[in-house]
Amino acid sequence: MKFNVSSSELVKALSAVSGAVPNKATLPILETILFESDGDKLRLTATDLEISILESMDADIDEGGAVAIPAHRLIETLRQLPDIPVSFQVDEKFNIKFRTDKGTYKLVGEDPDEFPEVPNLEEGHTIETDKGVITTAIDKTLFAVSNDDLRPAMMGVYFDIGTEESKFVATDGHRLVKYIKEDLTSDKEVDFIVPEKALNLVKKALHDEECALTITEDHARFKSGNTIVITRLINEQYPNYESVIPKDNEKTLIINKEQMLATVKRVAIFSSSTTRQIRLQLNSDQLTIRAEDIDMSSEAKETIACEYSDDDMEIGFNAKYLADVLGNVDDEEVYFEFSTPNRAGIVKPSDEEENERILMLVMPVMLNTYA
Amino acid sequence: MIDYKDLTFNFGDRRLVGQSFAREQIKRIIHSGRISHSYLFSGPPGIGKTAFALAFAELINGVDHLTNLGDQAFSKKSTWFTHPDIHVFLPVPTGVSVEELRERLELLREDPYEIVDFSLRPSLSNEESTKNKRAFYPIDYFREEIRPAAYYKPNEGQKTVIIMTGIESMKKEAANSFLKLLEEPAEDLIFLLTTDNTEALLPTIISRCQHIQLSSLKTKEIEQALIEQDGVDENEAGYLARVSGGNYAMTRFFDVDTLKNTREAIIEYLRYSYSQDAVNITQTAQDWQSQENLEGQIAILNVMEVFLRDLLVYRSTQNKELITNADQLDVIQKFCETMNDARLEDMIEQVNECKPMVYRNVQPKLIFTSLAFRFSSLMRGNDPIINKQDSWKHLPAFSE
Repeated sequence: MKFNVSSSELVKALSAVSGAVPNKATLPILETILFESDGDKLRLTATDLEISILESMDADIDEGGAVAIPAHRLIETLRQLPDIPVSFQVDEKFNIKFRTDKGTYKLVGEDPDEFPEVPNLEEGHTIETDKGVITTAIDKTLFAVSNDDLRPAMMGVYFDIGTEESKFVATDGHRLVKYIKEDLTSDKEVDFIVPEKALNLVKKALHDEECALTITEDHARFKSGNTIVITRLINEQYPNYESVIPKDNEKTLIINKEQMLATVKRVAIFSSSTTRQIRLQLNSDQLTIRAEDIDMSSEAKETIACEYSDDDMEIGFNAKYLADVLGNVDDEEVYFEFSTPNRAGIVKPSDEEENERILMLVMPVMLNTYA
Repeated sequence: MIDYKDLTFNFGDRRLVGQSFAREQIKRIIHSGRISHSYLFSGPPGIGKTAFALAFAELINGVDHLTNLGDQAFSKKSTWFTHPDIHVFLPVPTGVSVEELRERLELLREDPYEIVDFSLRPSLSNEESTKNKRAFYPIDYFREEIRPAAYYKPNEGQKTVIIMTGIESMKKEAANSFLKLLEEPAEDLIFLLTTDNTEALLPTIISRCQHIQLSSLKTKEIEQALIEQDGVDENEAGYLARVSGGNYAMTRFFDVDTLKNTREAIIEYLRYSYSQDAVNITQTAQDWQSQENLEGQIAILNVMEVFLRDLLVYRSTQNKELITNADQLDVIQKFCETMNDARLEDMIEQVNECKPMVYRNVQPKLIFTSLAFRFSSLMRGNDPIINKQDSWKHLPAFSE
């Protein structure tokens, strides 16, 4: 195999795929990147068996072939080079020699046959969409993904792409996000769970405006321009999240987001470090947030103005979860819905963009004053 | 789907030693096309349970390596090692790094009979290391490494195969956690477990596996394998095979010269035992404790057993064709003349009782001293002074 490429182009392509190269693996072949010639293109592949990233780039290919090249050493060397042409030469024993006008470098490659096969998604169902939709959906939901491996279904974002609208859901049992996009539809209903790590990589890897999503039973593929990210899906039943969203919430609260977030963060410092519990006291047009740490004999209390006209109520939350949810609202005003102190609180932006809706939910914590 | 019924092969023909019965069993399983979701391979140490499991995993995924599949191979991978759907796990000491594990797996790729167990071979770089590490399946290792491997469907192979060696070292928590995985296996997932002590397993684990018992290797099989696979000289292979105690994996490490030196030391040791030379016995026991690691101490006991057996055989048959240590014929003759009443069977039994003690980390110096003490009576045809029930009396008085 022989080919010539520009070092900066190659570094760009290598960085795109290197996200999938595991740092430490018992399977050494995973620490390599597969180089394959494909007509006048060069295709790079990296995988950790869960996620594979493929990138194709233009190259001047003199002789076709394939080889797996150790990723770290190659990337490190190329990064230190200025933008100059590099010519690669691979012999039949997979010894790699690459030459620039600075000098020559030798590496030992691996047999491309030993590289794990990349799943074939030709029979999958494809949905055309654009980068913005996918990245927003990921940004909105990713924070709520669980890391409890006893419930693997919740360790990813649930994509429910329907014929009229699409839902993206993430939950860890304490909070939940449901993001609905009305203009993303498919002619066939599909639903699947994408692991968290894959979504982080997808977010980084999407460069072009358009993005095609292909789904098979076990895999999902995100294709955008020259980059393809393929991930294994979590083969589990997603929990019935609709049943935890309370339906009749007569109490509503509208409040300035920044002000509330700052208050929650300040007051939370005084909460018990084990429970992170804060209390929200709702009175007419005013919200009092309190926290106390009995062990340290410290407490905090702040009162802020809001729009609230229902019966007085006191409800407890974990400050971290509440702050996460508030931080995820893209609006000046936040809209809360409550029913009783032992049922979940719903958080929404007060003003929603066209074609999209977002609903977040935080589970309350029991306050000892109920008894 | 691959139709296993059409495959023609001789299971493990490139490397496996002996086990013709179990190999036939595997062949039948493959040809029936009904591969169960978990198998337990059991048998004494060093007979190649791991090699057997590796060969089975390769066969399931069509890798042409340990078994000659020729052009029927349906995987391009050269060995199980690079196959993304074959996962191999060993018991590990706490705080083991991925590099250490990888080194061991790479050794196994070179040869499936390599000893990679952390407790038998604590360090790969320093073979002399006598530091014993306790290796087991910590619950974190199980959760972070093994369980995730079981969640995914095969990447390119027919089945995801998880090989876990030495599962008797699994602690209760890990075993119960593992049980859940074993009870509700995903489709296309196969567990291959190996153990040399089925007694130590949870009965619930055994009952969920198809149990395949591997037999001890015959001396002839070991001799042949040493000659064919390890390039051992034909004259030496016979002797090595006879002192192997059926442990092929360990025998490959034996060096004939060292063994002969050990034998010299053992003959001396037996003489000291007879003459009740306390100073020299203590010295020998001390040397064996400090200079040998666990395998070495087991080897000493094996060589001792073979030598005693020779004495027994020669004393009753006078036939020098039957003895292993043929080159030491004059020594054997002399022993037999002087110790006509020696209770050799009892002495062999004593030696065998010592082996598990070595594994259980009884202080080797104490073992060898007490053994000499007991030998001194048995060699004269008497009962040992301290009888079995009072074996605690061997313990030295505690002085401090």
